[in-house]
Amino acid sequence: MVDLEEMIRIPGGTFIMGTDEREIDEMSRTFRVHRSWFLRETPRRDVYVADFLIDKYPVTRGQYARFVRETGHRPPLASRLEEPGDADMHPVVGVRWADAKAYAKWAGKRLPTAAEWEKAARGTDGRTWSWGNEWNPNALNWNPNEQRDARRVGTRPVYSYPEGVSPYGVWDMCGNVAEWTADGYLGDRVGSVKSGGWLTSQPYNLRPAFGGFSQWAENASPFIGFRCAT
Amino acid sequence: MGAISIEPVQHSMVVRIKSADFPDDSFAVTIPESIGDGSKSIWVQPMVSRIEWRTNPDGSLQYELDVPDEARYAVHVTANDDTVDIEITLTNNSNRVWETSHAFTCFNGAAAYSFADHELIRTYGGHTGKLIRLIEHPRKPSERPPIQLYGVEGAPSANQTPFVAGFKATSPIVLEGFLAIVSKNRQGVMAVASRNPLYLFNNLEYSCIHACPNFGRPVPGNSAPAFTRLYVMRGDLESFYKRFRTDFAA
Repeated sequence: MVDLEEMIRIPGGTFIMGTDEREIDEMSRTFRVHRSWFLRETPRRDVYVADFLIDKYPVTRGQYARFVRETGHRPPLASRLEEPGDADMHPVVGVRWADAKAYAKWAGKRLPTAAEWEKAARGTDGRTWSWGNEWNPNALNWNPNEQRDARRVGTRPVYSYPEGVSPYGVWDMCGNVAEWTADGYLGDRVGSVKSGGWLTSQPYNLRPAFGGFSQWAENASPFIGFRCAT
Repeated sequence: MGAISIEPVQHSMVVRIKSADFPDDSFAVTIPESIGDGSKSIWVQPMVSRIEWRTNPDGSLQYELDVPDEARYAVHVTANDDTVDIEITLTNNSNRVWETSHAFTCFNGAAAYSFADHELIRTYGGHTGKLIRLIEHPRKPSERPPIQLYGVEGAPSANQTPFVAGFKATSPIVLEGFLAIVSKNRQGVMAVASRNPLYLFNNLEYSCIHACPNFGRPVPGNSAPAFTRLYVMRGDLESFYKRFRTDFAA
């Protein structure tokens, strides 16, 4: 039985945030990507994060639909699912940064900071992906060989990838949806987005440290969702 | 009748582009998002209610916009077999010399699903006579990660234009005057090139590419033309590159 309301306690303390030069060199070689692609993640550093709770799963379509019904808030952008069965259990997409914050407020929660999100995804050992340091194509919902496109949304129910669970037991921190976090740039015109989602085809863009999909806060995307924290 | 059809969106700067060669893809070009003095560029969006596209007997499209005491420009768009030509004439109606001038015209592939590249893995430029995949070359990280600007070989340094410098996202590499995205099946290319471009721009969020033309240094009262060509073509990247070199030979 999946409890979509469940939250996971992340104990206070330091964790390793970001990416170091050795990792960058290795990814750059492996994936033929210039090292400057990763510079926003540097330096790899110890960051203290106080005790907090984070949603075990991303906010689902069903949860967001209830928010829309009860508040009259703008619905997410209409999107057709690749596999519509169990649609309410898919993560919501097509929401702007402000929509995500409005939902969190309605739920009595808030968006996690980028640091909180990354800690919940990687734990304290600086691992590359939520499950470890070795790429595992079966541990997440992604887009190998760019087989999918944005005509249909390729999310999966949020309980679909047990191999991808983080050290704290948080699900879907790599793949399915990239996620809005609380941090903002350029006077909050750009919202911080962590990791990648079902439309992402490159393993290096699916790491929790990746923030390259941070985007214009006013725009909704078919592969960006969110979860909440308290 | 060519493979390409164009349709204006009234009261906007947008022209929708369809190609019979890529029937599942919808392209769009915004002409221009911004234009004029490179240190005091006009953002056109607040004035779109004044844009009235006209369709000419030959199928080409045009509109004009006057920004009092600043600039006037005229846009003309023509569809060909596998290209779309954009001619803009810009007049300096201000009382100052524009040290740089430009048009920020956006070729958008977000709904061209065979082409859309949100990870920069199929986006190419030309550098010292060779095609390069942009993700393998230096990028300037910024607070808006999906965007990047590039200077153009033979043009003034891109960051000399305040419009460009303001983005704080100009790559150290300098490219030839085009950007191209190869389709996922490698059998098609969407590209943009301008004659005498001032800089190039790419935004992964929209999978858009720009080759922004340079109108030079118009003094008050003077006009200057610019030419941009969009390609939606069958073939591989090399065949596009040959076309570009022929079309834009000095």
